[in-house]
Amino acid sequence: MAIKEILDRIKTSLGADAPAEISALIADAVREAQDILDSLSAANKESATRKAKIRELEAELEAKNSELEKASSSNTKAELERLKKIEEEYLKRKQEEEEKLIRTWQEKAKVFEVKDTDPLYETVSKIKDKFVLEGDITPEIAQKNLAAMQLLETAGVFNPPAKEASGYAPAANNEKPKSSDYTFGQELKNRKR
Amino acid sequence: MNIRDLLLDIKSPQAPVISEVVKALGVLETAQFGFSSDFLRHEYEVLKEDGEAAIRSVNGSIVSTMENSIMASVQLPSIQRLVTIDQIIKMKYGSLEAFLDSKSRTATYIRSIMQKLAQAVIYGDDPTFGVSGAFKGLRQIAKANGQLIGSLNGSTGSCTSIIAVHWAENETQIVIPEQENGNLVQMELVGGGTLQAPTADTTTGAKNLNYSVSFWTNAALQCGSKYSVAAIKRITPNTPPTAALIDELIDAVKGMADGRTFLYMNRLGRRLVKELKNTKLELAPSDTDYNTVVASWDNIPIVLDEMIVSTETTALD
Repeated sequence: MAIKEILDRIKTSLGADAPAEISALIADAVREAQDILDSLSAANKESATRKAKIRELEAELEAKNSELEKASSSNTKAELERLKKIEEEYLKRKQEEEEKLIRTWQEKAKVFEVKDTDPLYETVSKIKDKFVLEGDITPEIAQKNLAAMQLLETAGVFNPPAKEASGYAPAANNEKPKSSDYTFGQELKNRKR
Repeated sequence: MNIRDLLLDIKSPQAPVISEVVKALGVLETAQFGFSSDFLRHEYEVLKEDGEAAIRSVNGSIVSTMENSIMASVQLPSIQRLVTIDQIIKMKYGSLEAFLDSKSRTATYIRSIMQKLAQAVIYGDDPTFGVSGAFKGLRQIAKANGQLIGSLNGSTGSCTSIIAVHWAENETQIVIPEQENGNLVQMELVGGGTLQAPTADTTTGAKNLNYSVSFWTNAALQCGSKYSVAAIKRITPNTPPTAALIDELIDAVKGMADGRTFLYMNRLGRRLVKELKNTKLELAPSDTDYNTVVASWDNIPIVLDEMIVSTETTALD
């Protein structure tokens, strides 16, 4: 039985003849009981809100756990590995390309090592300063040097000076020297190529 | 084909140099050239006589004849020249390539080898007139086959010969090995082109300081028929050849004006043939042919070759 009902039955049992003091105390007790019930009800309501919040968070946690579990599955791992390999391969190729670029330039740069007896010496001396030849040659520097070198080669700057007219048709670039110009010295040079 | 055509055919870079060099070496300029069967060795058939055919009537019979040839082989010796270049000379040029990068020097080295080859082709390995270690030459083969024509009796030591050759592919030819680089004259740097110090004086131990380059060719003469070559021997100014002898010489090789028969002689021989023309030729006053220099005999080319000497001895006969 609820406390308020008990108090109401006590009040009814005392009847109208009960001393005023007792009636006043009972009335106070009823009010107090009402206050306690109100407070309890409020507290209960607050607890329900919290429980709901807890359930919501628990559901959220469960969803996250599920996602985490999915993310750590074997298929995802394999995909990750594949992407890592692609990245490694890309970096390796990039490095190779850069090294090749530098090597190509170093090979081309040998044209600057001509002796002072070489017919190209004067030409080479004039343009040598326009290239970065010293220090750390980065791929970017090599690329710039090669671009400039290609321009000069296209313009025929490094072609050997023309010989005196021999009366024979000029040989194509990739052809063996015309036999009329055959010497054993040329033969030796061709062997070294 | 001749040497020029052969070298052009194989796209040899030496073709024009050698064509130019052999212009002064008549026998090499006009000879038939071919490749050896086995690089430094050549095996070939020698025809003793042509086989004989007969007429066979219907249901008749015929006597068979054996293939009348024998197999012969010849080695291709090296005709070589070793050139030594002093260290100082090489320094002057900077490198061996630069030293050898000279057309005249290249032609000189090739010429020296071609001259030696021409000498061997004519006189073979004769100890006096030929090249030691060489193959048998035209003059020796003519003698071996009984193809020395006439009975001129010039004094020994002052004779010359007129040689007739009927070149034929795979029968009478000069054989050379088929080289990968297409060169007739090969070259190799001694010690890979490094400085050499051979001992110059064994007593004092003094040494030379030089570089060496070796040049060589391999070749041999193939005469696969008795009718390949013949010669008129012991010709001198006092015992000149006669017109009949020259005709006989041509007949001895079954020669004809087919572009493959040649008469080889030196300047003495040619002068004597000219004199023969002076004696025998009869011309009408209007005829201008008299001044024509002898260049052929019955349309068979007369080829000058200075490798034929005028000091032949009877040892060759």
